[in-house]
Amino acid sequence: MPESVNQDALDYSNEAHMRVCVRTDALEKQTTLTTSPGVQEYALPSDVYDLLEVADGATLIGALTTQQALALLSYPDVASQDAAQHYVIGGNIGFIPTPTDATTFTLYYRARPAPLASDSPFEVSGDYETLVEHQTLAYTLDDDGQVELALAEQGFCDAEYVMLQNRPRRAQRLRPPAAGFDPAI
Amino acid sequence: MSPVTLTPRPPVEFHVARLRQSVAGPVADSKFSDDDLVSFIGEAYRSACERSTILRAKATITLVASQQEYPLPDDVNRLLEVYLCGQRLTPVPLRIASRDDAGGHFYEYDDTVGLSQIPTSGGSLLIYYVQTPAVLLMESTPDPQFGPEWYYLFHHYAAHKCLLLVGGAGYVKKAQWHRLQFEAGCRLLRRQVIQDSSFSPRMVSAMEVIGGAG
Repeated sequence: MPESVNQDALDYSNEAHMRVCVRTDALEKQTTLTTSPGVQEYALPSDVYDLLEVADGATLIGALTTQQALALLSYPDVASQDAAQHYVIGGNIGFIPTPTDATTFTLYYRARPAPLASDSPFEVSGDYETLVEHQTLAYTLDDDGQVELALAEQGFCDAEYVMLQNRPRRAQRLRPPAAGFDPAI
Repeated sequence: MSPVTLTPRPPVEFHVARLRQSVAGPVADSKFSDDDLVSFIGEAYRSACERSTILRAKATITLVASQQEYPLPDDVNRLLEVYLCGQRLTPVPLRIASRDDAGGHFYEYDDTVGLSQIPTSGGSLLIYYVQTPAVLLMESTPDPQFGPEWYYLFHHYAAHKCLLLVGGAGYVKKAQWHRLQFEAGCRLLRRQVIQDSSFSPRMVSAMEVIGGAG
């Protein structure tokens, strides 16, 4: 098979894989972020599209809305506050007050998959993987000039997106409990 | 010999190749140059960003005593909010700004932001705005805020544009389908932006420090 055909197949699958994983909220991941003294904002990893929670050890820290963060950031005495809270603006995560030491936070987030390589598997399985295949087929049919078939395939995919997005997953979050949380209560 | 591991092409390059295989190739008899197709993809990117307002940023403007108006940064597409000392300022139309002496208001015109109350000392103004996307080139990648899950919009917009320019009654329906796919995608993207900026119900202790601003 010519390499250009393989390259096309990879590019179609990669785009479909991204679209399916994000549209159905299929992947949740965690990573760590270590702050530097005096640095308030940090670029979020490129695979983050929805930050769910931020934890300092076993304690979840407060989340500010954009409006709350902007109000605090424009307030001259903001650095005097002591409870660490975070915000997200324009692809960056920020902390209020500005960290004064190196602290490692754990970020829990909805994730994009890693870009596909020709020797890497999909990050989803089952119905999600089937949907990736259908979405890839819809792209291929469209480019092949078979618009009616592409339209039918895309209609199927759109219905599947809604169904999978509403499907409860086995493990919703894998995060430590918040401080003071007693599962027995 | 071990097989070569392939990785995805840059998004613009991939979509130019896709268009070449479909609408811009056999249909258009290769009427479109690569530059044409890249510019269509760039239009799609700009349009999707503007409709959804997905590219957001903040910037600080340094205030000067007795100066009422300040130029906005070059990448401002639309000003969303303005904050001064923890207070969210309310926008007022330019035509009434000169008669407004109550303070707490701002106005905007021609890439300029003005305060209804002239500052008597220095300080800073925090602005939050929708960014204008950078121009896309063949090798460039869209802003990280515009994730790869939305790149499929490029194809629909550019395909619609190619088919319309080629003309012919046979392609009208196909062009229309691509346009509808683009519009539907933009609506989804817009909905995501609105969800992301919705209010969090969490209690925020720091807000008590400044009396519940925001």
